[in-house]
Amino acid sequence: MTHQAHKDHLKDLPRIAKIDIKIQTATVNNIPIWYLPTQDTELVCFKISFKGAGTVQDSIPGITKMFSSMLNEGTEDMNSETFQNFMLNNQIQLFTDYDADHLGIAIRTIKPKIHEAFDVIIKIMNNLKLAEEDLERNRADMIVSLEQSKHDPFSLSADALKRLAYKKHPYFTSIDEQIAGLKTIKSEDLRTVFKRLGQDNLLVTCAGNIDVPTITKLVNGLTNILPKNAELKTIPDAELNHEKSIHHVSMPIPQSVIRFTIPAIPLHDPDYYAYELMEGIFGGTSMKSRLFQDIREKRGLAYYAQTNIINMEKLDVMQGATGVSTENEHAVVQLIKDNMIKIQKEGTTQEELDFEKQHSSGIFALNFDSLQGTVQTLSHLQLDGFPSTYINDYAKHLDSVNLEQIKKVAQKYLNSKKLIIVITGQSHAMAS
Amino acid sequence: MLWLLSAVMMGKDMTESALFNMVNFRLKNGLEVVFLKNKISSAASAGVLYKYGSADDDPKTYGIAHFLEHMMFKGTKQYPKGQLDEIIMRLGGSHNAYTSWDKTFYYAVVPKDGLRTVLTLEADRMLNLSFDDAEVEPEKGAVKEEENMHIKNHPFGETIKIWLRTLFPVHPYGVEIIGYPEHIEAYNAHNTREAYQQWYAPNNAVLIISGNFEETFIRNLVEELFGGLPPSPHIPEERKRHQDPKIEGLARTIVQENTRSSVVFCELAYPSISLQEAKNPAAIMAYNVAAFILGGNDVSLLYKDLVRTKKLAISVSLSHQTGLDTRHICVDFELAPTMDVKICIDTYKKFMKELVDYNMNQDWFKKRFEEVKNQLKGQMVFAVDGTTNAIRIFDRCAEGHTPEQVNQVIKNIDQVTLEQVQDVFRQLTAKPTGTLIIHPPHYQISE
Repeated sequence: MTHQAHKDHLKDLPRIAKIDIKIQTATVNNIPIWYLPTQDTELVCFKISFKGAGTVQDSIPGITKMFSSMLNEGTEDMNSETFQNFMLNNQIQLFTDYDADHLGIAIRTIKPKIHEAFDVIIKIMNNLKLAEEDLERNRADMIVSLEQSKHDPFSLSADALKRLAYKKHPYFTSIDEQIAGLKTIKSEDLRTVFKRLGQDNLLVTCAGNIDVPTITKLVNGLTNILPKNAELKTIPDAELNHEKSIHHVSMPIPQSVIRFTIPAIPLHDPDYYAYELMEGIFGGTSMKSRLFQDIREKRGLAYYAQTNIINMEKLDVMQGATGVSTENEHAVVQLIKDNMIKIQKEGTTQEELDFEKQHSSGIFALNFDSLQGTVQTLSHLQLDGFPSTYINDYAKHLDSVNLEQIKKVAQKYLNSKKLIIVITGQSHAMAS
Repeated sequence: MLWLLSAVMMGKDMTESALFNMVNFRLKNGLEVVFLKNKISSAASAGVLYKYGSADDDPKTYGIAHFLEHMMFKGTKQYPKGQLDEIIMRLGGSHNAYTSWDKTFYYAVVPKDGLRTVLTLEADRMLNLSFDDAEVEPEKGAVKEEENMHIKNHPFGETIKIWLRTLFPVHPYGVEIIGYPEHIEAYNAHNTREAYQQWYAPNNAVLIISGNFEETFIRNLVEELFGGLPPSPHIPEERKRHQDPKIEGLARTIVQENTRSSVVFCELAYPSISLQEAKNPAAIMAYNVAAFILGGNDVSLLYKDLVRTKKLAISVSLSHQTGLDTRHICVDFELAPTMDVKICIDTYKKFMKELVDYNMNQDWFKKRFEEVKNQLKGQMVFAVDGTTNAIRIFDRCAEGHTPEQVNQVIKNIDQVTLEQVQDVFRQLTAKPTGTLIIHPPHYQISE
């Protein structure tokens, strides 16, 4: 009875979740546009992203962070307050985001306000205010937040991982370096960011009640003001620092944060799909993963235990995190290693693989629940250099992975000897 | 002609003011159902909201509502441990839950075709939760680590614990939702099952669904899957909690020199009102509008005065905390250690006094009031983006709101009068219920 009910729900399930949405593409003035139009909503989202224009280009740490925040502080004809009221009165939401590699500006609005929204983007790109008083206000806010983040175990341990697990690289500016940088940044420094934003690294995505002629208007506006080519400095590859495999950072907290990192597969490697599934079975974010089952479900040692793959332009790693009480640190480090060795030696089961295929393909599809999620997802895929057909082919690629491939990528990458661990907690407070 | 035109426009406004295309009905067993149509998502979201939170718990086992939420993932006889997770994940969905003082909410998002399965599982665990006694202790371990993470590891966690008790000396809102370690220690299989028996039933739940479905399909599906569940006779008519005594003139101030603070943090909490007391949703909304005008963003009145112009704080913001019972409207200040918290608070008080004595009756303020109401209404339209976001908005049904009231949020904002907001301002010139200041070592508070 029990198993029957269970099977009833699963029998009709496809081995993978296919996505039937069709992303449309267009090219205007050589700028690629991905879009998902629909008349069934009044909302419109769009995003312009600049490849390679992220914090890695900062000549002073904190420039991109400050620039991104100042995008919301007005244009030449509107001071900060006027600008923010204009946005609220016109139902235009501005979202800026950046990471080490890229910089993006997204807008969410309603159809009747789309042209006002376009004008805002053009004004921001062409005539950003960058008033001294707004700069000072943002500076004070950011420095205080960064100082306070040093008391937060999550931020501090992430900072420690950057400093200790990797060799020095512009990807890894510490909290202190950012504070020092922010203290000196002037509006001239922020203006230099515009040099990173060119027609040749611009990508556009949109979703909602919008059509190609409308988007074309925005892209034409942008190509009128953006330089043909962005000025980007070449970035070297980033590497892990294998001098020491385990680091301790002291902090007076009862629950130690364990973070770990290990080299991972490059994004465009043909075995990437196998790696992705293997990582999901090992850690990932699902409650069925080996780490979660072993650390939380069986032993109740932690509230969370997860991993994620980070593919940046110049670095491919898997990172993981868990939080355990001081006395369980060693046991959990051992569990992490044991689970890596086990998968490396034995691979995974067919059942685990089948499950992970269904799970991963389904989770990917959920990115398209909202317009905002759609635009963000499309933008990430564009920045990562995938074709728009990736979305529909993704499930098929996952489906083709077999146990041999899983074992192969595990053997190559899940090497516990390459693991670098940073433990932030109080067990070592006395020692250091 | 003019009156006719305005009548037509009013009629239009009334229908357009609804946030969602909503269908709301109740099954014979008392289950309230809210269906929010979303034509563009290929996903479906479903949530079961129980009108039960940690403030309903016995004082010996505060937070067992949250522990039960954890145990609800342990399965039933039909779908034993792990299968619930497995089925949802195999469907390509994700699910989770949260508990607060007033509610427990289980939600899942799945590809559209998975709705029936999600609802089957939710209907099953509404009646048939079954866990092994041996699963209790490891799960208590996980909850203890959750407490460590959220409270003990947080620089201000233990302080906030005392702060809550200061604001609510008797009311269960004074204890963190997760409970104290001694509460967690007191949970066992027996009292967990008791909590389940008492509170989990169709007549104490709201089922919220969003996706691209036909109304008839939803009605039939819900009737088929939930219609057979028996209502519980144990659900109390009223969720009565111990109320705090009303004491006039009591100054409650907590000041902490905190070695894990680089910032000066200050909160002033003033009494608000609950829907139970106010009866009228616009009266609650008046607090939200007041909070938004004063400290809702970087163009709000207090932010402009204290942060932009006088540079006395890094940030100031107001929040209106709602619940089934009365909570607070809070003013939060963040200062760099070089700034003077005494001067900041005094300037804030002076600002509020001038606002109440003079400014709030001036034309510029009346204009700003209308502008801000429109801004607030304008932001609401984005709530419809995505099924996941949509269903969460309706968790307020556990705070005494009807689904209709939640869906009419734009109308509620519209109905807030200048006089109501002026009244809230007056309350903010009275003595706060409590004052919290956390500051870094060696920071001097001036006399």
